[in-house]
Amino acid sequence: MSGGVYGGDEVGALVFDAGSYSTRAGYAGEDSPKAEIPTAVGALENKELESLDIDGLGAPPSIRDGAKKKYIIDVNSLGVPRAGMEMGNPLKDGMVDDWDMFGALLDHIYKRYIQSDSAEHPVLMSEPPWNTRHKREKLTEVMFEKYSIPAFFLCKNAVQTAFANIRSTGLVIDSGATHTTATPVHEGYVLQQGIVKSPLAGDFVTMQCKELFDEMKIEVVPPYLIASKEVVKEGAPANFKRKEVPQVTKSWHSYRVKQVLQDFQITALQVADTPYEPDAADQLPTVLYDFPNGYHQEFAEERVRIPEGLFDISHVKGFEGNTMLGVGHVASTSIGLLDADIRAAMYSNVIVTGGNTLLSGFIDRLQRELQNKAPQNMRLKIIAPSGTTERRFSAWIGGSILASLGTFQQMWISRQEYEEAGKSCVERKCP
Amino acid sequence: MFGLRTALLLLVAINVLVNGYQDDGYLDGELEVLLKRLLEGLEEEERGYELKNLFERESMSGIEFDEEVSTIFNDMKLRKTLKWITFKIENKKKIIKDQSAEPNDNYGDKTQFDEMKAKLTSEPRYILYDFKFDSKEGRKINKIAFIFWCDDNAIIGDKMIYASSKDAIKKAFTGLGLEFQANTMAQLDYETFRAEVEKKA
Repeated sequence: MSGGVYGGDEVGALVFDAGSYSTRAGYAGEDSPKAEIPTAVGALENKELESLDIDGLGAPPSIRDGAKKKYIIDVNSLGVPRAGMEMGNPLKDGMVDDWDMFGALLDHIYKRYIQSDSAEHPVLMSEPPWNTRHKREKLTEVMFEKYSIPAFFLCKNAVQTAFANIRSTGLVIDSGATHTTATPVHEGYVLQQGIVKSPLAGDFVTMQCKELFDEMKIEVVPPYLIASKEVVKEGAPANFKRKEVPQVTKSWHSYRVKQVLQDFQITALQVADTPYEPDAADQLPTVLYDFPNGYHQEFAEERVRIPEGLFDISHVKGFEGNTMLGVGHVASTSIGLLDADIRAAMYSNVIVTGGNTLLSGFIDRLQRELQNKAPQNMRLKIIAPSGTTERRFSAWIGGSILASLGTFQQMWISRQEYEEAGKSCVERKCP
Repeated sequence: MFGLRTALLLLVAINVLVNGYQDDGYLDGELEVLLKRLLEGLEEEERGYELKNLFERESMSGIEFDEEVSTIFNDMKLRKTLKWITFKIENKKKIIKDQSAEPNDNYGDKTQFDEMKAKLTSEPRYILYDFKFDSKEGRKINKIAFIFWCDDNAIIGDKMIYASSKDAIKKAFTGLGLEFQANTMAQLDYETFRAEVEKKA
């Protein structure tokens, strides 16, 4: 079985890493994925297609008989307003939920980015540590049957993240779009009893931003609705012309609004060094944010108040008395669930990954919180790649390293094994 | 195959010639290993196998290494020619030797270790270091350890290529018992390693 592509001319393995925000794919041995596309799929009912039909012959038979829906994928196509297009996410809780959409996503990646026969490349795919047996077997089946791949391997994304940081032991803190998790990895294996999850992550911050704007009576108009805009004074009402667009669905509109909010999140928000105090927060430098419709305003105290919820939910309106775990708590709780003799190894190898951790100040705050929670004279070290691409892609990079290791070549489930033992071999071969 | 067998026999003979036939437990052990490998090799050959794994020159990451690499290790082991040596990957293609130093008995083990440490940069390196010290109970310890130096701040491309070729270079070091990894300068600490070597030796 061929592995990496460094010096050799052989055909390389492919690495897929599906996150709830984006899906990464590329060749093993390379240092960044070939494709990063949103894990969001727009679905059009097939009757919409028929209504587009002009010559009276009806939709092509392939579409009419085949899929019930037509799927729209990738940044550019998703940006176009289409009547009746509903937005969906093939993943739920990090696991594949809608196999039709997931298949459409894979088809698109193979066709548009890999541009090579799927039967020629072994595939290494990541999965969340809590993936169920049924879903793993189904995925194995899909890959072998639908894509006729020659070999397959499923690897826990936390293990891959650890590998990307050249470690086989450590506590992987992954704060992405839908959830923040702490997964202890020991000698390359996930310790299932120590996994702690919390819904306080990127989407939570986005939701808080939305509430803030509602409260401040700021209407967030996504760029697709704007035909032209005038320059206005700071704080003055926006002056812009609306564009005529088809009747879009609510889900697509909120998808576009979410993109604006996410941009606000990354440009304006900041995690405070210390737990939130209104007086200190008032002294923060302000940041001017331009909305797509031309409205702009300075934000000060809100900049730290919103992300504060990630670490301490009790300050957030509507969540008083809520027991959802903040990021620091997720980490320390996870370590607390482990055997006492490996706790030190976890504290000294806290590996941070996920797009949400790119909020400025996130790492410093985590360091501080863990320092306070760690037992005295425990050596604490947080490992966070400094580059943004590295932080977002670390699970992919780890998979890329893993698939090019010499020792990994015996670990693949080969086509022959699959044909002999069936899909259940994934439980045995990929622990 | 014939060439291989002859080479091994020659190696055994040369060892006896150079070092003399001493009643030295250490050397005997080494000869035993060589003979064992030779015998194993013969058996394998009879069964029609190739000794591919034993002498594989290429890793799965496509990295090759100099013939020199395993020779250096054997010399270090048998003749104590070097105190330490570092290896690097050249042009993402080939593992070659980088820097090295001869043993100097005027300085302590720690001093020589720190000298080596001072020569490292944020670029990853494979290191062989010949630990030589007396244990707490007065036992003489002399062991070669393989250290994988991979700074957390190294470029991701370098980290990847060194991590995925580590298994390949280790294969060239037959009989290597100790392996460490360091990701920060602080982890590259003589006392920590020494304690580990003492525990395992």
